Amino acid sequence: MSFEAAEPAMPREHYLNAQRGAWSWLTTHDHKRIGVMFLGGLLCTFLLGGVFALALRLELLTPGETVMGRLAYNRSFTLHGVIMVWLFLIPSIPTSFGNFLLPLMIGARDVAFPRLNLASFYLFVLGAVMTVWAILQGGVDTGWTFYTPYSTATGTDVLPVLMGVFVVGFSTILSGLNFITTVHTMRAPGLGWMRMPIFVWTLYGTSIIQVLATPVLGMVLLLVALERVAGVGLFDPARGGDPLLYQHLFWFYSHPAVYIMILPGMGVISEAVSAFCRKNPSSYRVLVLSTVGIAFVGFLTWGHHMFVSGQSVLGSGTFSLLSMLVAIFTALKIFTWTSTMYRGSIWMSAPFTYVLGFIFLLFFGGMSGVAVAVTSADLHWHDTYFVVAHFHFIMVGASLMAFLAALHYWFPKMFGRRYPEGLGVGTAVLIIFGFIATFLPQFLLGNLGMPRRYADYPEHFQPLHVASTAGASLLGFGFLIIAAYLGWSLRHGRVAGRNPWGSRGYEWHSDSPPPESNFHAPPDFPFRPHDYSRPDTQPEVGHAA
Amino acid sequence: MRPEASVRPVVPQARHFGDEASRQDAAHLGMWVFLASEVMLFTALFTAYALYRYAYPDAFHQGRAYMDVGLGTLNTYVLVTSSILVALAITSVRAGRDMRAGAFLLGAWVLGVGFLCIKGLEYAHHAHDGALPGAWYDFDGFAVPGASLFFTLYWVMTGIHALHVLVGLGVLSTLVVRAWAGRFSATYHTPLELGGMYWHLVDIVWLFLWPLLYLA
Amino acid sequence: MAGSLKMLGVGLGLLVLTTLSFALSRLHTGTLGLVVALVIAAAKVGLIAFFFMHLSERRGGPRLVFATAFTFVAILVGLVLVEAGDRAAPTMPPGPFQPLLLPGRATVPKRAPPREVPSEWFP
Repeated sequence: MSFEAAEPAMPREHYLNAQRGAWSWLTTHDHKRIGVMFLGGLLCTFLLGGVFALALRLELLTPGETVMGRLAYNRSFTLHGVIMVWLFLIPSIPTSFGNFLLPLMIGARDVAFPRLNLASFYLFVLGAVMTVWAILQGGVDTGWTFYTPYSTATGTDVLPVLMGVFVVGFSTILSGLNFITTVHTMRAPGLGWMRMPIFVWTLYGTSIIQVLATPVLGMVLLLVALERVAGVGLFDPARGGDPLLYQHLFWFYSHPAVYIMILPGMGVISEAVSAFCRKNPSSYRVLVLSTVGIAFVGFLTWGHHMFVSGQSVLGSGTFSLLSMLVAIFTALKIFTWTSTMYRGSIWMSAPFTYVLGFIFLLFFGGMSGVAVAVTSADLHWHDTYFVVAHFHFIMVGASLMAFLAALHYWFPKMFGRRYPEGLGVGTAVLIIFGFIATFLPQFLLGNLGMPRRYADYPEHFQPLHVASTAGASLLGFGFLIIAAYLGWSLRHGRVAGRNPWGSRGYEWHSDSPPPESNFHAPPDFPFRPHDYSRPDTQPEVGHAA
Repeated sequence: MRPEASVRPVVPQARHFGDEASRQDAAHLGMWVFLASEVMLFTALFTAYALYRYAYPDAFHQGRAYMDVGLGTLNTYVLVTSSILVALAITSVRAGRDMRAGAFLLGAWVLGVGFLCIKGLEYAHHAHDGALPGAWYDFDGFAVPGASLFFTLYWVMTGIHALHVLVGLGVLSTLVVRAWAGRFSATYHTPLELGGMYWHLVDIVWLFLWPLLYLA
Repeated sequence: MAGSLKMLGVGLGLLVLTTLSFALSRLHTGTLGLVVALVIAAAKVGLIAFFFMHLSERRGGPRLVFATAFTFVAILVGLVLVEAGDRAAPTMPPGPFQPLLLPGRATVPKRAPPREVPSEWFP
């Protein structure tokens, strides 16, 4: 039988109703519940970071100080950056969808260390609370990069933010540890490394980056805190210190951090492209190798943030070359996805609309990255809106689109219901165009010389700023609409059945929503993931109603 | 196939593993990953040391003349010996001698306390000289550019290391108590192995700190 | 018993290497001395990792983690030194001017005054 003959039904018992009460949620070891809790937390931090973004765009609507003074503006962009980077983007896909899906995709009952998983969640919450506390204390005006010597000397209270980020960093390290161990030791029998879903590979690569890079950030922030609190400084030029050392240590983490933000998104896109084109990936091996390539080479490129800081010519040249090299892996992925789509049987669903937005915007964002990797060009663009546009194209245009794609693709998996598809596609289009309206003008602004982190600007930049703010409001509306229909669908959406998309991904073998133990019987995956070349049969493995 | 591969996990909280071999693999791999993150934590400090040593080669080379090389070397012997005792504890528990394992761990713990005491003595000497970190540096005997950075790095690197020794002491004492309470056996002693690995990491970090700060 | 003897043997090796390292340092050989000391340290770390931390018993994952960690130590320290090695002299610490501030407690580190909260504009 190839279609569902009867109306799909919600499974009677699943992870959401297996145990009831708030306490069962707060003390859960179930990776699925932890993933859902992370998702809730992430939506809150995204809202908070978004509020700061809208405040910034509102201020930038007109030159001069209108809705806030300069100090408040500095605090706003700092907190926007801190919250969006550390409290939203870095945890986003791995902690929510990664937690939920990793064991399902490899046929495991849970992650390797379930209690550590819960600890990661509480550390995230603690770090978020500390950052909110910092906001209430009046916030920080150093920029999210905390460059010394300003961060060690400023009168705003930097310490709570440093500590908040330190704690969230710990959460990240423990999550990464958990995922690496899970992938190594808990795969179902017969599931070799080259048969894992691509999403699992990208989570694995991301986790390696998290474990190796985050401790360096922790240490450098600790050193800044020590200098502020105890006068024990290593970066103070007056005492023979080197501010560039801070930048080396900070960016050694923060550049791989952007690969933490994008790699899981690329995994989501790989899953969605195959599912919604009903086609095997053109080359599974290329997708895997490019994942590992990004994870490794991404560590070698950090100096491109320091081209104008006094870095040596040899250093700048080396980092410039390596930065261009890392773009090759992304290009390989884009070629693979587009060739997968060619002659596929395309289903223009909401997730796939986000996929198209992702690929289009990642293309431009990535190309602008190669542009700023050219040292001589970056001398003109550094610290202008060109760079701001570049990283927002990647972080919002790509990473956030992937998050939304994941949210729509796996919503039926996680909650057993469907959202209104037409509204989903329409809002996706709104968001994509809103995004382009917001950030394309910023490329132009930056090229014309508009510096970043400035509240005031010459009159002739205003039209572009107005366009950008208009786009930002479209984006904001789009997100609110998504929140509305997804919230509604949680209770009133059509029941999805086990596999509403007809996807061949491993995670669809269990019920939607899955039972607490993930599979009713030990799963066996006799075929490759994303395998659409088999004749259409219902995957029965590991599933007994 | 390893003998553990067909056995159910031996502890109740590990039911999500298919078998004992996976449980052990996961526990050990997880610990190694954690230790790798700790190594990267110290790497940030070693990088700072490398850069400043490159910038102030003479000051850093002269720095060791103002260090208590004797005490530092003694501390190295203390930590290495404590690592030996921890290794002996593991072999004991693998042979089923859990009481003896606890005794070895206690010995390692005592040596760890000794390490901290010797460190404290060194810190007192430096404080007396005025060789304090950062803005508090007041050592007239060694007042060339780079000198205060040498001592700041010394204090920060050995301080954070000492913090890890302190955590390690907590781990060791917990293991001693559990070992003597009979919680470990030849079939199950994973916490002991993992805790021991943490202590060995503390030793490894010191083995790099010692030549950089005291010897050369 | 055999296990304990092996551990004691490795331990003896560690103590011998420690003594060797200390003895060589007394020769005061400058940069070479540093390199030798670090090589001996690496050898000791290898012994501890392989025998005390049972890396010899575990194939695959743990060895990959061990190798990766040290690879990245090399990357961070190496690339920073490569960059610093080529820096123009005035941009290396202590900078282009004579350090006016010799290390001492007499001067207090500069710190901006605490900012008033909220500012006159902060909504």
